[in-house]
Amino acid sequence: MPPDWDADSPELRRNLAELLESIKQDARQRKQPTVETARRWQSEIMRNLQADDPKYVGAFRGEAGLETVQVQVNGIFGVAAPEVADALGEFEQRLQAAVAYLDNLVPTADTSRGAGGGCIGCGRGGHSASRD
Amino acid sequence: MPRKPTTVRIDPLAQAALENLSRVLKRPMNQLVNEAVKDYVGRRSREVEHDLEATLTNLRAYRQRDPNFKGAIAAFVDAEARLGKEDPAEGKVVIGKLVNGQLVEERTIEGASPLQTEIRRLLNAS
Repeated sequence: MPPDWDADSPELRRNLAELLESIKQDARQRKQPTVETARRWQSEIMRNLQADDPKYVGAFRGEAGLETVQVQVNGIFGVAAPEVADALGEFEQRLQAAVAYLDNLVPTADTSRGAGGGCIGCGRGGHSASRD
Repeated sequence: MPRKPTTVRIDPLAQAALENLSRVLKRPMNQLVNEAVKDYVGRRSREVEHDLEATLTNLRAYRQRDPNFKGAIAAFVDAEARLGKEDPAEGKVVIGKLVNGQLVEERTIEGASPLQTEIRRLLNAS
């Protein structure tokens, strides 16, 4: 049986390490982050792990089969499931504007941009994107 | 370059000491102030320059220590894997519909509890 998605396991560590390496490469190539990028990150992190429900993997709340999946953080509800798609669209615009601003500040050859692009985007949200 | 008059407020004790010094040295206060300011700016500029160089050296050393972010990635993976389960910002999944910020469970919206729904489904199937 695969390890639990939220447990510390060699699979999770391997998935995270591989993903961060790929994010570093994407950042150096100035690939624009998108909502679909986040979807892919979450799928890759969850590879060979046991999710609470397989339909949470590579999916956003509000999508088919997840219409009534809500999320709470410290007792406060996140965006209602039917509004997630719009909220993600707005977030994507703001994220891309912020990354474009930073890209202008940091020369392409500067390797420091790689870690920044990777770590900011691939935080806890990447691990639990289906719950966000 | 012509000298520009500038207004500064000097601490009364420093002002008195400056006046005394001016009398003793038989030099105008303006000259003493110019000399003091020039000395101070030169000394502080060297100190600030030294501080900036030290900061830049530290930053370069930091980048050279982990130029390919191997260490940063390893630290991130370790923190995420080891501490992720206790992450207070991790969301908790709840099933239902949100109406005006309140969770309304499916049974309320549909007018029947899950058990009632299941019984109805079984009855309809038979």
